[in-house]
Amino acid sequence: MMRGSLILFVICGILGIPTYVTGTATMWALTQPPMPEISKATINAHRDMALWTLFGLAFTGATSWVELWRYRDRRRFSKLSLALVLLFAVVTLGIMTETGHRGGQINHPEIRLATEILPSDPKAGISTAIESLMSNMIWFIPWQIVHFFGYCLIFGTVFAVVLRVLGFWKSVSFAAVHRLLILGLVGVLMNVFSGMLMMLADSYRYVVSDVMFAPKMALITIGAIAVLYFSLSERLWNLKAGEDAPIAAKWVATVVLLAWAGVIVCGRLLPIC
Amino acid sequence: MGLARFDNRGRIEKCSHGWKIHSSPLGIRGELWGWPLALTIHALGTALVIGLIFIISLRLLGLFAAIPYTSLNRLFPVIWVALLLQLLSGFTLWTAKPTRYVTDAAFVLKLSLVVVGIILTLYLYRTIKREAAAWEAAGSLSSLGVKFVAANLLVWCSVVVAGRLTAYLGPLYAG
Repeated sequence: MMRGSLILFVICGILGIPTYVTGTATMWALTQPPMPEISKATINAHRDMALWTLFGLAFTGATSWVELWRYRDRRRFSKLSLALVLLFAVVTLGIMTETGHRGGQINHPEIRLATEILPSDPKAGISTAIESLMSNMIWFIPWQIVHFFGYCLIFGTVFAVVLRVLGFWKSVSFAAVHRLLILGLVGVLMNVFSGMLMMLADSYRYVVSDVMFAPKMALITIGAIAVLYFSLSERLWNLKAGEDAPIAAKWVATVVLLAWAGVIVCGRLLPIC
Repeated sequence: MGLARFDNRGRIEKCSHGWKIHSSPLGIRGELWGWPLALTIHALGTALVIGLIFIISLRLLGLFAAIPYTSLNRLFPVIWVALLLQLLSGFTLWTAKPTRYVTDAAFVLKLSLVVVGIILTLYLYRTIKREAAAWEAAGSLSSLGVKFVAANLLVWCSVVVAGRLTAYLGPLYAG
């Protein structure tokens, strides 16, 4: 039951990424060319709150994942961590509700409250502030360097774990290799943060013009959810040094490897295709 | 979706190295798939080399104690293959703009660091082969060993940074 809830939180966290990105695509669909009844200022208000939602989901998802990961070793959940997860989840839910309300205002004028003052400045808000900062090369370069280190950590970790499951690194137990996965989480957090900043710099190009962006987001979602299997399978966890992994685990490992390799391929081709 | 599609927003021209591939002994001249293919291989190779160097280094520095020192050697063949891919794809990329690269300070720095990194990593491989059993018995490396591992990791991290600066600083100071 507890494990199930944590898994659900992790999946919600992962799904936050495609949700935010498709939201950005929707914004451009509604504002390029501009429609008279759609206010960019209202969209930005929704977009700013969505950014906080994404942060909330990332915190909730990451703490849930860490607890699932630690559960393997300790065989019990830490009360403090569970309380933290619950706190993050409740706060995120609150932010999400406000995000939803602001989103509704974009094309449902009937739900606007009489006392509510709608934003009117299309340049206000954190999203547009990040946009203008990040379109400056001095800001762009360091975050791109962070992004490179992040993907090296993710792929290196994935590769090492997959190597073990596929049977090319049998001198270690699966339990020992499983510990490495925390490095992958560090990489994911680095890259979600830096990636979102870079996407905001030129979101029209990324979500509308670049053909490689949608497959990259899809592969991140698939790859991240598939990695959960490594922390859930009992048979894998009990795999001692020298033992061969079950065939189902090898299939999952192959999917994980191909998905993350695909993320790098799509990401590298982003500015080109 | 043409391969060499540029937006009017400027960034793409700064992001990619540009599409004017002048001369190339490898026959990628004028064929636009050659450059992206080499670029993609180079990106995957970077992930393998840096990712696995990170894992090996962090283990040698004392993290992830459940992984035996003696099992680390198994990861090195992957690094050698990836390094070979890096040299081949890197050379292919270099042939596109040979004079631009050799006059780029960031690129020269990167290439020097790669040479240092390869020598240090080869030495690390030989040392692990010889000493892993002793480390396993002692439970850790000597303090000199720890410093060596940290230096090697730092060199490879600098390679990544210098590589990124090669892509960006060049066009910036060339105007």
